[in-house]
Amino acid sequence: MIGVPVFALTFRQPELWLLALLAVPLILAYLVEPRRRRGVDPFFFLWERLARPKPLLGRLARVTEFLLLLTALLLIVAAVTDPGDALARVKKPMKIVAAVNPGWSDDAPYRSSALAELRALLAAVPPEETGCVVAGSSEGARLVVPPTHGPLGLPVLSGRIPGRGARAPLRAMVDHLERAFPGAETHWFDADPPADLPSRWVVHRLRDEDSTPSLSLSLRSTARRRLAVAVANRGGTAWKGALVLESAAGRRHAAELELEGGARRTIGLEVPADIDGALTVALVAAGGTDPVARAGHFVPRRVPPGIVVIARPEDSTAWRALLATFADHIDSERSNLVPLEEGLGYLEAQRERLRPFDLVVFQEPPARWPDLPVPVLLFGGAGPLGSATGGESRPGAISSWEREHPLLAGVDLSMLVARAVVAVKPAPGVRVLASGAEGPMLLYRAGPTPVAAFPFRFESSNLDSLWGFISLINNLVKVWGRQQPVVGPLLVGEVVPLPAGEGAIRGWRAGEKEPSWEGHAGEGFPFRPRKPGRFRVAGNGAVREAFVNTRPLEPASPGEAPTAASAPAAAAVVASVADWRSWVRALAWAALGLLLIEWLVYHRGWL
Amino acid sequence: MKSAAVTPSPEVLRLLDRMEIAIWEVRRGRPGGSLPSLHLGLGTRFRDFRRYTPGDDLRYLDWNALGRLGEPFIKQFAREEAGRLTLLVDRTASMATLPGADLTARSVTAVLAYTALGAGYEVDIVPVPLMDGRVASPVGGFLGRGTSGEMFDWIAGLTFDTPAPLFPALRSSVGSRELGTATFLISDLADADAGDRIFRYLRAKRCQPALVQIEPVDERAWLRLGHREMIDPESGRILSLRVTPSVRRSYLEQLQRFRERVRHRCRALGVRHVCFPAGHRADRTMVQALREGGILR
Repeated sequence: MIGVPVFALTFRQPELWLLALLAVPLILAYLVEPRRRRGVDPFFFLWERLARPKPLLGRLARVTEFLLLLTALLLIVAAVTDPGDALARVKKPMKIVAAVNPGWSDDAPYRSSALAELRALLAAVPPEETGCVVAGSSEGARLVVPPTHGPLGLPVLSGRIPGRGARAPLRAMVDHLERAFPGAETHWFDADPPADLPSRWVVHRLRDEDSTPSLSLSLRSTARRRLAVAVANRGGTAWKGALVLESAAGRRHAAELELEGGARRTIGLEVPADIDGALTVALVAAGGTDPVARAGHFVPRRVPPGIVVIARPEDSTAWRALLATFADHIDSERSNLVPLEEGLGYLEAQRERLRPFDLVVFQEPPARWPDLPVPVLLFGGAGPLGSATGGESRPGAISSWEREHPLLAGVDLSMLVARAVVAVKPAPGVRVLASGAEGPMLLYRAGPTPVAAFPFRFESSNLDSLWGFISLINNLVKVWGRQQPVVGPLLVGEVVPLPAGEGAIRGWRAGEKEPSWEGHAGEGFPFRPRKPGRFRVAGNGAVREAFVNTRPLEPASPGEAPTAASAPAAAAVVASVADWRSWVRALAWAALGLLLIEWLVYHRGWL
Repeated sequence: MKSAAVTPSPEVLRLLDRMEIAIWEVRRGRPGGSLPSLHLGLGTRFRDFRRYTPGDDLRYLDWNALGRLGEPFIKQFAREEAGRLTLLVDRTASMATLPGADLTARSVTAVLAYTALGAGYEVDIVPVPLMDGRVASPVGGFLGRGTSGEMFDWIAGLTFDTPAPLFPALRSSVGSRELGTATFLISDLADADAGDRIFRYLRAKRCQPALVQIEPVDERAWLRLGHREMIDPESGRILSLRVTPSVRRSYLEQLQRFRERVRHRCRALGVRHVCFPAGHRADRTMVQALREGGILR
């Protein structure tokens, strides 16, 4: 991977340098001696004091102001000409992958197979070394979203690279491609890449496919779990078929569709509740099974946690009330109230269904501690968090608790009393979140499967009548529920959801050796990546990946026809579109700074 | 200028009829007044005792002292005389550059002179500078209420366009002239250190000085931004400079500092000080300000 050693600035809109002619009136204004107005002032002696000889810089104040204004003007003109492409490339020597297929187009049935090819291609290239991917076809080129979107972003293609007359940065990108690939059309489809191609350009030749497209499909998310499906029939004949949803849950029929030739239609679609994760919307012709057009979407996986309460049947009323309280926040199918004697058997049977962010509540310590992959709340003892000291159980109340701990945020335990508190000794590594005169009243162990334990029985306390208990359960569900795997790409500055109670957590940006973030045992510890990329977050339990982008995923814009001018440019593309912005920003800031200095010189009498 | 523009309104004149110049003692006055002087004589204000000598009027014998001490003493009283007021009116060119300054100077002069005449004072109005080119302007001398009309006409005839530095002009105008016990300077005082020197000069003349200062209403009129040529109205000198916001701010700060300094020096030297904005006419507020400034009572 070698950066192109070019140090000359290039400008995407060099014609705007004509704006530098604005400096001419500025220079003339400086050269022409202004007419001096006369005025009689009775306090003339004050002017004499002000006009005393000043140091050299003061005498040069006028020329200083002129030079500052001139420089600021030139910087502003330089900023609007979009400089910095060549230098930016030196700064970011990332590979540019061009995926070439002359048979490609946006139209069905090619698009789906092209996506599969691109997916395989993207899996093969290291994302931290890849600036971007360009999908080239005989009709034009498309910039595939940067690999930081991960596999989730792959189905979504950004807008087609437009031809001349389009937005300046993209047009300049096409010009750049033309310069990089002399005779691009020839090399693109008929011959190997040119020998003098810079090493950072990687051209993948994909299989050709000859097809006659007629239908195109694009998706737009209008609300959570709602999609707008735009279907266009570019063919001359009518088409009849159906919209089909393909997901991990299977394939299902969504809507019948009939389109005249050249017609377009947008259909509102609600994603069924049982579908989450990757979703493909496909067009299937009537009587056929193979899709003629497909578009991908990702439905964020927001599965609420379940609460399994293993309790005595005689106390079931209070627990049922608790579950009813959280009915809107938990998954009712995976939540259950199980009699105490059947508890372990039930958990064994449901082990596969339990998710890592479900909650199991034991009203009493079980006969043997089950090896559960879920957080547990225990009453009546310490369970694995400690051992009983053998003393008598005594009445007790909570005198102090860690109010700042996320599990106890907003929880008032001052009114809690229990008739029989078991004296326990916490095991090493176990944290005492609340304590009373009799010893620990709430034990907590963080980790992949966190456990919290009250050393008194639920029914012998007034927990069921305390609002604090509802808050506590709510906190447990919220805090432990954040162990859900990362879903969807994040934006720069957004909080990466971190697993609760995993102890020391470190975050790396892919391609960097040193961890960019390090924290310890922080439930809800805010890890906000400040730059895009693929991040790996490692805790005690597992390593998770977070894909961080500078902008949200956007579905492909439908119906943008390729232009003849853009076809030769279908090659490969820039390192980072965002690089030019940094140059413009730097120049604009410099100009602003100079104008500020000029203002200070003029208004504050500096120099 | 017509004297009507200078003459206070009847309402103000009625007000001034009840007022007098705030001085307590006449240094050298004219017989026939009501103010106690430094001389002993017929009067009502007790000054001292002296031993009885034969021939003294027994009406002034202090019988109580005779009863207590057994020796005769005669009571002495301050002689009552008429006061004298000298008004030094600055008519240098700087007064002409301040819009309305001449009108205010005339109005203040008229108010003070009318009040003094009403109280039986002898009033001298001295233009500063006295010389207008090679011609000496007359000094206005007035006595008695009956000369008020003449006095207003004289004030209306004053001109304010004689370029001259203030202090030398004042010194030459006063010359060997005997100043009144009350001597008031009416001026814009647009000179770097003229005020200080003038006050010292007047104190040396053993009079009770007061300053009626006329200030510009809006200095920003000559503070427009850009390249300017500033002209000194007194000497005609020209200064080229560029007025920027920072220069303008410095100018206003220095002007403020200069005014503070004048006020401070007046307090230090016991000079009564009253300010009027240029353009202020003779009205009740002017009388009120002169009362608050300790010039009228």
